[in-house]
Amino acid sequence: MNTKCKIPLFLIFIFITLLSPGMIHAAGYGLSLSPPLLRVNIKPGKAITQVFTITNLNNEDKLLVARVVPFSESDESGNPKIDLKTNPTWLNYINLANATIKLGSPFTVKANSSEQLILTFSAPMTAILRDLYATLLVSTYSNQISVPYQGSQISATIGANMLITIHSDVSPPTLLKINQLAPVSGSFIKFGNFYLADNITPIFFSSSVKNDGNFTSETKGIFKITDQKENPIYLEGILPVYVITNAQRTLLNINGGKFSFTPNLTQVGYFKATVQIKTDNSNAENSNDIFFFPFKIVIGIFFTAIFLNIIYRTTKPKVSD
Amino acid sequence: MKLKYVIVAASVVAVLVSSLYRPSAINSANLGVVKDTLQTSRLSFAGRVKAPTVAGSSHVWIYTDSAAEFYSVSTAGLKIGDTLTIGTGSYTIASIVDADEFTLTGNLASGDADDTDVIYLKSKPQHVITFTTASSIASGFFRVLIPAATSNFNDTAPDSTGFDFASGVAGTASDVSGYTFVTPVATVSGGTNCPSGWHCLEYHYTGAGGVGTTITLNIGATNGVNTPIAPAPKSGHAEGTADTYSFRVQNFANASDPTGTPTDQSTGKIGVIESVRVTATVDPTISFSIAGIASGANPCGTGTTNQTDVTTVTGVNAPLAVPFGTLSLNTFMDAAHLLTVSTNAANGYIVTAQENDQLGKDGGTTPFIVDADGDNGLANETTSDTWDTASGNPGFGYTLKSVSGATVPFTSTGANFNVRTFPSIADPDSPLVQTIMSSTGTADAHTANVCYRISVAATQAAGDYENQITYTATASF
Repeated sequence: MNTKCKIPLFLIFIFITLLSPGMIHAAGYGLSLSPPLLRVNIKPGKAITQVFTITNLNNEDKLLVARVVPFSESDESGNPKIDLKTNPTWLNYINLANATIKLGSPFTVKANSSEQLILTFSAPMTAILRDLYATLLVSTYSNQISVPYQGSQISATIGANMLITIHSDVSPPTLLKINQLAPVSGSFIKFGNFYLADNITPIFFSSSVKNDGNFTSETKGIFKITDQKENPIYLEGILPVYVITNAQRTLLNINGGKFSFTPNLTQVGYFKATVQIKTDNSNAENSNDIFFFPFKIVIGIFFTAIFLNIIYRTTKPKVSD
Repeated sequence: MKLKYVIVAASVVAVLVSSLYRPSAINSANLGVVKDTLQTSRLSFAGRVKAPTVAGSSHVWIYTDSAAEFYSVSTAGLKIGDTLTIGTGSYTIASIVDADEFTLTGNLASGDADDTDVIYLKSKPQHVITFTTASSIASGFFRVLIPAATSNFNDTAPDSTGFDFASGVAGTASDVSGYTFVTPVATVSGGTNCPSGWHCLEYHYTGAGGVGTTITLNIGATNGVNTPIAPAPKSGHAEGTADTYSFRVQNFANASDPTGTPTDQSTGKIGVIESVRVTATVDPTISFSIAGIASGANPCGTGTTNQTDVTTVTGVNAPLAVPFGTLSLNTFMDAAHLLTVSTNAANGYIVTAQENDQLGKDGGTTPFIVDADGDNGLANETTSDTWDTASGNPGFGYTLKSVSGATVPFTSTGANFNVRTFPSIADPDSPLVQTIMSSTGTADAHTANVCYRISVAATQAAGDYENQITYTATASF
C-alpha cells in the first residue's frame, strides 16, 4: 500500500473515531455489605469464621480496601463511635482467611459482582474474658493523593459491626440498669413520687437502659401497666437491641416507637407503669406510679357550670320592689 | 342307567328352581369418580387464650395443651392477616411471634382476654362435588351428606369431629343435559330426613337423567356465605397430618324416601390440614452509594436567592470527588453529592463524615483554605451558621438536605445556606466524626444531599488545594 492510499484511510479512521465516541458510563460508588452486624460468643482457645459478602453495585470494577477498627462506645441508638486512631493488640485476633485479600491491602471487586471476605476470629487461651467491639470497614481506595483539580476527594466506606464476647459461658452475667421510666407526652403532671394523668388522653413513656456490666446484653422484655392488684391491663414488647458494656440505649416498643398507653374512663386511681427486662444474663426493672383521673372532663364540667351560672344570673329577670 | 339320567336332570332342575326362588340381593350401582374439592383444605383453629394475655394489649398467648374441643395447641395453623374470633370479638393477626404467641392489629377488648377464652379461626371452604351418574333416573334427586359432630354442630364454632352448619348452608348446582335443578335444600344434622352425624343437601332436578353424565354440585360459596365451617383439629391431631372425613353422594328416584335405599351412591374422602406458612430468610445487608449531582441542580435549601447559584459542578462523572475547579475570589462555588442508604437491619443505620484535614495547598498542610465559620463566625462541626456572604467569609463547609426517609442533623432553610464544617482528623479539638444521615429502622433507599460550598479571599495563595472527606455507613446494633 503506497503513501497516497494510507493518508485517506488514516483521515477516515480519525473522522469515524471523532464522530463515534465510545459510550461513557457514569462513574459511581455503590457497595453493599452482608451481614451488617455480627454477634459472637466465643470461648478462649476457640476460633470462628464468618463470611462477609461485599458487592460492587457499579458497572465498573472498584478498587477497595478492608480493615478492622475498634470501637468502645456507642450512642443511645446503637451507633458505634469508631476510633480510627487506636490500635489495640487484640486486633491481631482478627484476620482474613482469603488467599488473595488481606486486611489493609487493596483488592478489586469486578463490576456488579461480589467478593467474600472470610474473616477469622481466634481467641487465644490466655485471652482476657471481656467484650471486644470492632467494625469491619470496606473503603474506596485510591493511590492518587492529588486530584487534577482543587477540591475534596471523597472516600466512601461501608462497615459491619462486630460484638464479640470472650467467655467460657454462653451468657456471661452482666448488669443492666433501667435508668428512668417517665411519661414524656400526654396530659400529666408530676406530684411527688408519682404522676397525675388524665385518663382520656394517651400517655407516652420514654425509658433507657444502661449496661454497667462487662458483657453485652440484649433488651428482651415487656412494658406493662398494672392496676392496684398488680393485674396487668396493658402489655407491650420491648424492641430487642444490644447494649454494649458501659453504654446506654433508648428502650422502644416492638414497633420502634415510644411506649404508650391509652386509658379509658373506667380506669381511675393508682396504676403502675413498669419496664421489665429479662434475658439470659441479666434482669432489670423500673416502674412509676400513675394516678389516672378524668381531669379534662371534670374541668370541662366545672367551666360549663360556671358558664351556665353566669348565663342564669345575667338572664334572670330582676324583681322590682 | 335311565334312572341315573333322571336323577341328574332332577338335581339340575332343583338347583335352577331354588336359584330363581331365592335370588341374591342386588347392590345399587356406584356413581363414577366422586370428588369433593374443597376451596381450601385448611383446618379451622380452635385454641384458648392463656395468661399473661390482657385486655388493652395486642399480644396474645395461647395454651399449648389441649382441652375438649380445643386441639389447636400451636400457632402453626395461623398466618398474618387471618381474622380470628377471640372471646366474642373479631381480630386480625398482625404477626406470629412464636409457637404460642401472636400479635393483633388492634388491642383486645375487655372480656376477650380472659384465661381460656376461645380463639377461633373459621375456615369456610366451598365444596365442589363432582361425579358421573350411573343410572338414568328421571326427575329424581341427588343427596350429599357431609360429616357433622354429634353435638354443637350448628353453633357457628368449629368442631373437632365434623363440619359446623354455621346457622345455615346453601347449595347450588349446574344444569346439564337431562338434569335441570331446582333450588337445593340443606338440612342440619338430625333434621327432617337427615341422619345424626351428617349434614344433608338435596338437589332435586327435572329431566330424563342420563348415564355417565358429569354432575357438579356446590355447597356454600367462595366468599364463605352460607358455607359450613371446616373442622378444627381432631383429638390427638398431628401437625402436618391431614384429618380425614368421609362424605356420601346418593341418587334417588323421583319421590323416593331419602332415608331409604338410593338407586346409586358412592362414598368419598376429604382431608383437612393446617395451612402451610411459607417463610423465607432474607440475609441482612447494608448498601451505600454516592452519586454526583448534575450541574445546575438545586440540591439544598428551597431554591431562592443564594440557592439559585448552587451551580453544582460535581457532575455525574465525579461521585468520589468535589472538583470545584478554578475559584473566583470572594465568590461562592458550590457542588453536591447524593447519598443513598438501604438496609434491612432492624435498628437502622448511620452515615458519618470526617475530613483528613482542611483543604491544603498541593496536598500539604499549609497554606490551607480554612474551614468556614459562616457569616457570624458561629459555624463549627456541631453548630451551623448562615453563610450567604462570600466576601469577608472565606472557607469551606457543607449543608444537608433529606431527600427521602433519612434523618439529617441540620438543613438549609429557604434562602439561607446553613453551613457546618467537617470534623477533622488532624484537629485534636475536633470530634472524630459527625453524623450526617441516619435512621432508627429499616431503610429502603433513604437519600440525602450533601451540598459543599467554598469561597476564598484575595489573600489566598495561588495553587491547588485539596483534602479528603470520608463517609462511613454502618448499621446500628
